[in-house]
Amino acid sequence: MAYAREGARLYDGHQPGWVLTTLKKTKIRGVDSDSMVCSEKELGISEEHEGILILDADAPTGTALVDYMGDAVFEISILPNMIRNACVRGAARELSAALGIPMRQPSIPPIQRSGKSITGQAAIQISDPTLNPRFVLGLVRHADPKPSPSWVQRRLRMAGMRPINSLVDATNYVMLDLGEPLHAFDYDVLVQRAGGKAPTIITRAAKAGESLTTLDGVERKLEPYTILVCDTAGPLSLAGVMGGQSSEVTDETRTVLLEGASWNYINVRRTATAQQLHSEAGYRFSRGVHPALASEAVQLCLAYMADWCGGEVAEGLVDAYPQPVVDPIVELTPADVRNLLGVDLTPAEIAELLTKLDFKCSIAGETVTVQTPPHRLDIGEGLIGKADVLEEVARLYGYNRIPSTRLYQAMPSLRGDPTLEREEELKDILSGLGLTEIISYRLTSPEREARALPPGAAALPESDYVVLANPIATERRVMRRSLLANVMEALEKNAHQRDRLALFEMGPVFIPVQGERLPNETPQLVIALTGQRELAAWDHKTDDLLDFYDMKGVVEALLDTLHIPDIHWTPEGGAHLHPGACAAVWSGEVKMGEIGMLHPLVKERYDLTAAPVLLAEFDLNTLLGQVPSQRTTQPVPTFPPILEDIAVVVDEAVTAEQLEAVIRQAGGKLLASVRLFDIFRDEKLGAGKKSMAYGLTYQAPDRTLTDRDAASIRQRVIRRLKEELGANLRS
Amino acid sequence: MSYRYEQMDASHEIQFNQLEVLAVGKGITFADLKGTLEDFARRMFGSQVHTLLRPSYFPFTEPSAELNVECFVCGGKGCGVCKGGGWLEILGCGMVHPTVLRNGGYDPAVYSGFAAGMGPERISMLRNRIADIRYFWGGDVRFLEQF
Repeated sequence: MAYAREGARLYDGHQPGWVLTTLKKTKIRGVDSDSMVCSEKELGISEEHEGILILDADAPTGTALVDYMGDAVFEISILPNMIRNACVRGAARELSAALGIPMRQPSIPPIQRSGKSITGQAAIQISDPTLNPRFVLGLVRHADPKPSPSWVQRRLRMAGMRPINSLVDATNYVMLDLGEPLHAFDYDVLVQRAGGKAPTIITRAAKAGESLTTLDGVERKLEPYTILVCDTAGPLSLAGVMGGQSSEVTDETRTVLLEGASWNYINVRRTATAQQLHSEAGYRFSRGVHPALASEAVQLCLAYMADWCGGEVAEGLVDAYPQPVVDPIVELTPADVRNLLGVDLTPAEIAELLTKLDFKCSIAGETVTVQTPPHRLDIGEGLIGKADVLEEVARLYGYNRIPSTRLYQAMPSLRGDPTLEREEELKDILSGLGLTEIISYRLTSPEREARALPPGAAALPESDYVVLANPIATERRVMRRSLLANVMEALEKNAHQRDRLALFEMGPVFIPVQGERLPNETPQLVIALTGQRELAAWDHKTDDLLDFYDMKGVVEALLDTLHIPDIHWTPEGGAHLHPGACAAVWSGEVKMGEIGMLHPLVKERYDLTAAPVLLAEFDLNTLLGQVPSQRTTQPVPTFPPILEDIAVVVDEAVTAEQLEAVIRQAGGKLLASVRLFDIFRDEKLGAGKKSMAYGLTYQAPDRTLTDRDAASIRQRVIRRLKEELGANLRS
Repeated sequence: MSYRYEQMDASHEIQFNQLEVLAVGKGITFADLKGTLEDFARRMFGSQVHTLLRPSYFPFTEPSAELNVECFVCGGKGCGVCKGGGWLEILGCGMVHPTVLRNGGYDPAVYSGFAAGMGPERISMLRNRIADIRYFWGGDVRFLEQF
């Protein structure tokens, strides 16, 4: 057994997972104890904490445990194209090549072939060699599947496998050694299934409606791409993935039929994926195992079975290999290496590198002829084979020895993406105005989005959404339809962090289209303001809140910076906005978006402060579509303007927009600017009346205007205002 | 934007951007890939940064590699950020596979090229020492105001 003294670092056996602890002196039944006999868990060997680790009788007393157990476990992550290295010998071969140390082959017990020949004891029938290129059988009689030797069990455990009995362990041990998964059948069961005759193993694709119960006890419905190992009575195994329950070896098995085969990796992968069945065999076969390994692995496994179970190995193998793999031959020249890798190597240097990985190379002039070794399926033919072998040249030469150079040809001229550039410009403008950009999740739920809907509106059904087939969580099961809902969530998240929030987000929403596979991905812009207009400072006391006109100012600044022409506003807005504080913004005939105060009943649904929430929502393509591609500027006037103020009294119902439109129309080309500078209400004006005061600028490009010109424009303006809006000049 | 079924934690997101690099022409070599991507790494992380190319596997490139920069938190000694390895992987890359060239209408006997792909969020995390990838779409102004 293994014992540790006070101060030793051990894993705590009483805590789940792996928690390191230091062994302390304690009293056990009143006696001081400054050491402990350890469990496997405490030593970090396994999760076993029932009782202590009992070593074999051959363990020399007083030896450090590490010297007795001896092995270090290396965890190697294996790239998907290197399945040949998912075994001890593959990893050793790779290390030998990388480090330049010769590889030492393991010592293998000699096979005692004392038994009667396998000939006539079993037959193989391969229905499609493209699915099953090779199938090899060996036979062991009089086996006694007792537990494997302890060193075998220990090695299996260290490799993450559970020892079962010496028969099963031998198949697993060989798989870990050579990379060829094997399968052991109970021969007597097969004979019974064949009605007392020698069994015939049949490999074929599954038929429609077929099913099989695998070793894990699950009944599996099979697809036509699944390859089966069968006998005359029906399916036995899911080829390359998992054996069936009916014919598996047990502790009672006495005669073993050992299978070593190779399979079409695409079919194995489809089967393993469809069945969600991840086994050590499936892991290897689904990436391609070379058929040459089948007989080597069967021979090795027979030797171990005889050695560990005392069985008698039958003479010979049954080996069906209808279409032997032709290992590709690739021709490589120094020019190929230079053209792809940018390195100059001689033919001899190329050959020397590849020989390290067991490629057989011959040199004739400038050409190196490279023979793929018989354990690799990842080398192709022709140009592809050349690329495959050049990768090995690069790896063995060392990526970091390859020089660093620059493309020698001039790059083609760069083309801009106008939409992207305008979006960037827009973001810069808004950031410059002091807003913070957010980017939110595009995955949400109808319930989350419903919070931002108008009062009384119900959540949209899932059928109105792009719904995920495999969502990570129910609150992220659909693609968003509303950018506003996300911006509202961000406001809520930050509401209690800051006294003032000014956020915007730009991004697509996803609207499914009837009869179309893909949704419309319409980009939107949402701006949100809430909280204090300015933060108070030592020289500046204020508690004003951001209001509708702050938002209008932000939007006007944006539109002005983008030089969008002919802006005007109309009092309207979505039902989620306050009906008395909303407006649509237009460029000429095109409605670009809406601004407004969030409806109090919608705002109530969010955990926000008392300050109103101001929103602006734009269809981004419509907005950007109004940005002029070219601009013209007016010459600086050389003649002086005439400035004039007028005030008119109108009904409350008349809007500033209407007034300005009439003034501009009446003023004509000589009216250069109009500015509303005062609104005044007083009893003296009469009930329901207001006074609107405008500063007007008259300007001609080609002459100095006279008082008479000015009077004529003024009279025209006043007359039109009276006729069209009932306005009276205020005296 | 790309999406992935992923348990979210400080370094895994369900939503992320991807940036792809592709250069195809005559006489483009693995050495060009190295030089170009090392230039990128130096421009992104500083002229002093050390880089390391390690073999990798992608179905659409051959040879394939991953580009690492020396961990600038620990200077390559090994720390929590580089998970003890001293290097931080910033992108995957490789020479365009002949089949990909052919599918794209380029004769692989005449043309070659290199490709690279990376996650801008990951690059940004390394460059700006951002501790948690979930900050990007989390919408917390206490993070966003730092940019």
